[in-house]
Amino acid sequence: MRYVNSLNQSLHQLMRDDDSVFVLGEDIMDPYGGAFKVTKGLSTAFPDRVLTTPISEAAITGFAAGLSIGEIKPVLEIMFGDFLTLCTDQIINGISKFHWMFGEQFKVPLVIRSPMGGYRGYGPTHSQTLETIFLGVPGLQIIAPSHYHSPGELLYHTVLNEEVPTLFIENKSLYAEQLKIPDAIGKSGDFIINTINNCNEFYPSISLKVQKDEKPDLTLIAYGGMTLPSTRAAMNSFIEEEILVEIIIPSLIKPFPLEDILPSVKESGRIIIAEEGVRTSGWGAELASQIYEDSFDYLKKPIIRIGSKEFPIPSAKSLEDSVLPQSHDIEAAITKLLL
Amino acid sequence: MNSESNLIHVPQNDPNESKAILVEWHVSDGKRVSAGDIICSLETAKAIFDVESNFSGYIVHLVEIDQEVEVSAPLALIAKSAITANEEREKYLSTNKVSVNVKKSTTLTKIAINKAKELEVDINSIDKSGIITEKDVEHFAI
Repeated sequence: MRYVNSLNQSLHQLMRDDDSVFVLGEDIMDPYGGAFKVTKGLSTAFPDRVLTTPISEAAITGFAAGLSIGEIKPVLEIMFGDFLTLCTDQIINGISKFHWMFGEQFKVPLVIRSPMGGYRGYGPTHSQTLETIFLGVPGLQIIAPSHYHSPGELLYHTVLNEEVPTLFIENKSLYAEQLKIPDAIGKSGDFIINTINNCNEFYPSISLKVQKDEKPDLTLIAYGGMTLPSTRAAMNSFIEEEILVEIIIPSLIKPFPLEDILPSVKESGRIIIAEEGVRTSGWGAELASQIYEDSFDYLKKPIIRIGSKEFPIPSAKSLEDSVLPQSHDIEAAITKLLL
Repeated sequence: MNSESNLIHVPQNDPNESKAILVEWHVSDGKRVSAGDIICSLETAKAIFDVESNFSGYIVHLVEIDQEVEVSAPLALIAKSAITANEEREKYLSTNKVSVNVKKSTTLTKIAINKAKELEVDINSIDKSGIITEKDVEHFAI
C-alpha cells in the first residue's frame, strides 16, 4: 500500500468510526480531492463533515482550533508545510497555550496535517521542512511518519486519542512510496526491522540494520523523507566497506525521542543525525545536545549533523540537489566517522 | 524498431512524476484499436490519467495490471495485423528482455567478492539469504 493511500483510508475510517471527526482544508473537495489526494473521496462519502475553506491559513487554523475546543474533532490540512508560517500566531500564541492560559478548563486536541519536503522542483516556498521552527514551543506535539511506519495508523490514533495540539507532518517524497511492512521474519528487503517503543507505544521508532546480531559501527538517526537517502547510504556503506549502520527512524519528533535512540548510541558511539531541514539550529542541533548531555562518555567521536544548506531552495533540479542533503553526503559522513 | 508494429510509451503527465502504476486496460489484449482510442489508465500519486493510442492496429499488452512503470517505458505494442500480434509480442519480449517480478539475485559486499576470489570460493554455491559478507565466505571456505 502506498503512504498516501494509508492516510486516505485512515481518514475514511476515522470519519466512519466517529461522527465528530471533521476534515477541513483548501481544495479538498471531490473530484479534485486535495493537492496530494490525501482527502480523496471524503467529501463524497461524508458531505456534511468535509469543509472546503477560504485561502486564509490564519483564519482556518483559528476556526479549527475553536471547533476542537467544542465537541468536534477537526483534522485541518494546510496545503503546503511552507504555509504554516501563516498559522504561527494561532499555533504559538493561542492553540499551544490555551489549556494553561485558561486554567486547564479545556483542551485543544487539534490535528494539523501538512506536507513538507523538496527534491521535486517546487521552488523555495513549496519545498521546505519547517516543522523545526516549532521545536521550542511548549504544549505542541509533532509527528512525522516515514514509510517504515503505518502513517494511517498513527493518524488514526492521533485524531481519536490525543489531547495535545499536534502537527502531523507528511513528506511529499513519501506519498508515492510503498509502505515497508516487515515480512514473516521481520525483514524488508535486506533490512532487519525492529520496533522501539521506549518513548511512546503509539509513535514508535523503527530500527533498520542489515545484520541481525552484530553491534552497529554507527548510528544514523533520520526521520520522514530523509529515510530514503539514509537507507541508500547505509546499504552502500555495507556493500562497499562492510560498515554496519543502524538507522533509527523516529515517528515522534517532538517531544524528542531520546530514549528510543540512546540504546543504539551507547552501542556504536558514532552518530550521524540527518534531516531535510536547514542544518543550522535544526532538529539535529537539539537532539545532539541532548545526546551529549546524557551519553557523552559513550561517544567515540563528535556527532555529525547533516541538513540542507542555509540557502533558499532553488527551483532548478540540479541546483536544488546541491542545497538539499543527498545520500552521498551521508556516505561521506560515515566514512569520516570510521576511516 | 520493427516496421510491422509501433510502440506506445508512458507519457510524462506531470513534470514532477517519474513513475506510474497501470491500473486498467481499456482494450483487451489482441483486440483492434484505432488511433485516438483510450487504451489504458495510469495512476500516479496525484492523478489517474488515460493514455491514447497514436496508431491503429492490434494491441499487445506489455505491462500487467498493478505493475509500476517509468516515464518513457513501453506500455503496449500496436501490431499491423491480428495474426502477427503474437509473433510481434514474442519478438519484442525476447529482444528487450522485459521481465516482470525479477527475482533478486544474491548480493555480496565488495570485501566478500575479493575474499571469494582469494580463497577460490564459487560465489554461486554459497547458500545464504541476505547479503553475503567476508565472514560468510571464510566460513564457507572451511
